[in-house]
Amino acid sequence: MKRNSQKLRKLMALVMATVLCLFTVAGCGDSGNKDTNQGSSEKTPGTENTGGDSSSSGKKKIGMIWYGNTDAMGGTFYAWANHAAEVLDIELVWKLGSYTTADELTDCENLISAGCDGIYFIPMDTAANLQLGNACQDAGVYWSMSNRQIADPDILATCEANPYFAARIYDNSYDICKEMVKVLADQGITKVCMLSGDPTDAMMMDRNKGFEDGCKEYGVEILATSQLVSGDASANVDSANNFLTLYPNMEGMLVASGTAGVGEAIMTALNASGREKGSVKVAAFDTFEGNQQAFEDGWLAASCGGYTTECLVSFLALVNAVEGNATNDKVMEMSLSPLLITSAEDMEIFSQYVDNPEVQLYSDDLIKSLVAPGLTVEDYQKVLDNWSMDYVKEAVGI
Amino acid sequence: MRDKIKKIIPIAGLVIIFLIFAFTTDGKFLAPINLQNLIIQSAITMVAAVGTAFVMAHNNLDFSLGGACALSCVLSYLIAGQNLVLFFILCIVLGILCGLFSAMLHIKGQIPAFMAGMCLMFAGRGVAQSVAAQQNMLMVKAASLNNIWFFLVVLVVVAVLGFLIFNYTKIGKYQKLIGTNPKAAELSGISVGKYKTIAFAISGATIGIAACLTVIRSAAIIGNTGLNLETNVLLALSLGGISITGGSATKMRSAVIGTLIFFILNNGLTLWGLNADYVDIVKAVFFLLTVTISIDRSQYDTIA
Repeated sequence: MKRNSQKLRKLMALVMATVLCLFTVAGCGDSGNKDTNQGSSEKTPGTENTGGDSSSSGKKKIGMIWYGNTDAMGGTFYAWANHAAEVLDIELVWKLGSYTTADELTDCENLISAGCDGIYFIPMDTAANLQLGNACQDAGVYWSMSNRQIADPDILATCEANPYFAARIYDNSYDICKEMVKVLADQGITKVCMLSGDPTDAMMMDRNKGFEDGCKEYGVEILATSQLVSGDASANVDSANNFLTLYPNMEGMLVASGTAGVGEAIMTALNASGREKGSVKVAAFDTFEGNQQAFEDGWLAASCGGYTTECLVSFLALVNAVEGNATNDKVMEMSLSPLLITSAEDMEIFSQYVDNPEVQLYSDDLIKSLVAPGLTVEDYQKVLDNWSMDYVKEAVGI
Repeated sequence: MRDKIKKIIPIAGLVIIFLIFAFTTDGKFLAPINLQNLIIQSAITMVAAVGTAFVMAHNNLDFSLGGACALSCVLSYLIAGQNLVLFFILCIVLGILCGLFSAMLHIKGQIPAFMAGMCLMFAGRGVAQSVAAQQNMLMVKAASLNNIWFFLVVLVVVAVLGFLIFNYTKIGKYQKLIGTNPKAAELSGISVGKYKTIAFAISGATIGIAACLTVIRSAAIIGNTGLNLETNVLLALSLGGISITGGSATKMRSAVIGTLIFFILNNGLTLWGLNADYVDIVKAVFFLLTVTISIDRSQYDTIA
């Protein structure tokens, strides 16, 4: 009994000490205001900056929250950004492999603690913009994002009011989807089935709408629609097979995303269908393994891809803001149309030179020119607008 | 002597990495904001680890954590919508129900607990992804609680309650007894099934609390909510030197020490600015060393 009582006293002392330590830590300073209410922070650029520590070294430091560097796009942007950092004499700190907002927020907080002057990321969902944006604003650190729309209007308004939000770039999926329908229509196709994208994802909604409006505009009838199951090849093979079986008059297929095994699954279904090669034409957003063969076989009529440019431009706009060159206090909003690929030859060039970490498509001079005083959103948008197969050919000297 | 060293390794490891980062990061590591971030960041894993320790004490593994977390969040959102208080209550209730479901599969269905947990993990993840594909589940109001005080209070309450229940009540002591020798426990008149069920319920409750904290951090529920929670928790507990075979060697401190090691290492390596290609290698080497030295591999015959 006595032993138990002693143990309990020791325990209570330990608990009290721990709690006191934790409270001391939590109470130290007021810099820890992590309140993430919308529009909670009142800090504005040019006032106190608690984030960066570059003043001592003179080299600006950018935190890069990136999904990974092992796939084509991930590896290419990793190489491009590292090269740009060398050219611009800035330091990058990478955090790889976060797939939830909570993990991205943890990375963001750690990077800010590490003294980063700016944070670049691809948001895992719309709320990530709010959470990471607030963390950056609280610390007085600039931030930029790319490759995603901000779907929720309230979150968009809050983010746009954040004075540290340097740039946001999203894919212009709508127009390119209409273009792909036009490619099919030009080949005489009038009846298609559609594998649509997730209706809650703003980017996918754009793609779905682009296909639908394109069909209306170019006189193409959508016979049936089925929603894509990302990453589940067999489910997508089933969908394609259902189209082939139920709609023998189907001449084409619209696919909102060909990545994550979807494109390969559809080609597998077409090859196994017994139909004559090229009798069904596919227009698929995103590129996939074996797409060149699919073009050569006549199954694939249009594809698109190449988004690394928007990552680079968003990153460079962030660096420009961090360097103190931002000319207006509004976030720069831009969009990028992916590359439209309509032949096996273009596909070969795409595979060889686009999203290849070994190939730098942007010159050192161009990179330097995008970090300078007086640049406007139009200057950055111009670079995005120049993104085309012709640009790629010229850049690699073909 | 060897056992003593093994027991000291986790706490020594924690102190060592704390000191290393304190002295090599130009004060960044000890900055109040960084320490506050560390507390907030480690809260989700630590809370879940406290509950998981009860299950591990009776020599089982709960693999349902991430899926159960996602399932609790999604179902609570579908019922409570934007009503935060109701959402939090439902998260905890549903977390407990998930724990009870795992317990039922394990005890009544005679299915190994890790397998029951895995089924629940896949089911939870599947439900979360299906619902997330149909609708946005933003919880912007929840983000207003993303502050040190809220996380600290939750953390302290859960850790202290967990410690007290684990060490000073029948619930905790019987878990260790069951983990040491379930047959002997049964012959002593202990209802093994009942106490295992209580352990799963406690684990479920902490999953529910972890789910609330996850939503506060994320401001939304997505298909990936709670992703890797089970991996992080099991890794943290292993780093804290927990006895994989359960029993009397299981200590609640493993949850706290292991989680802190896990997050301090992650934080410190970022403060160092270590090349991203090497971060995982350094982590793996550190984890392997710590676990190899400290983990308890023996079966204990007596209760401490």
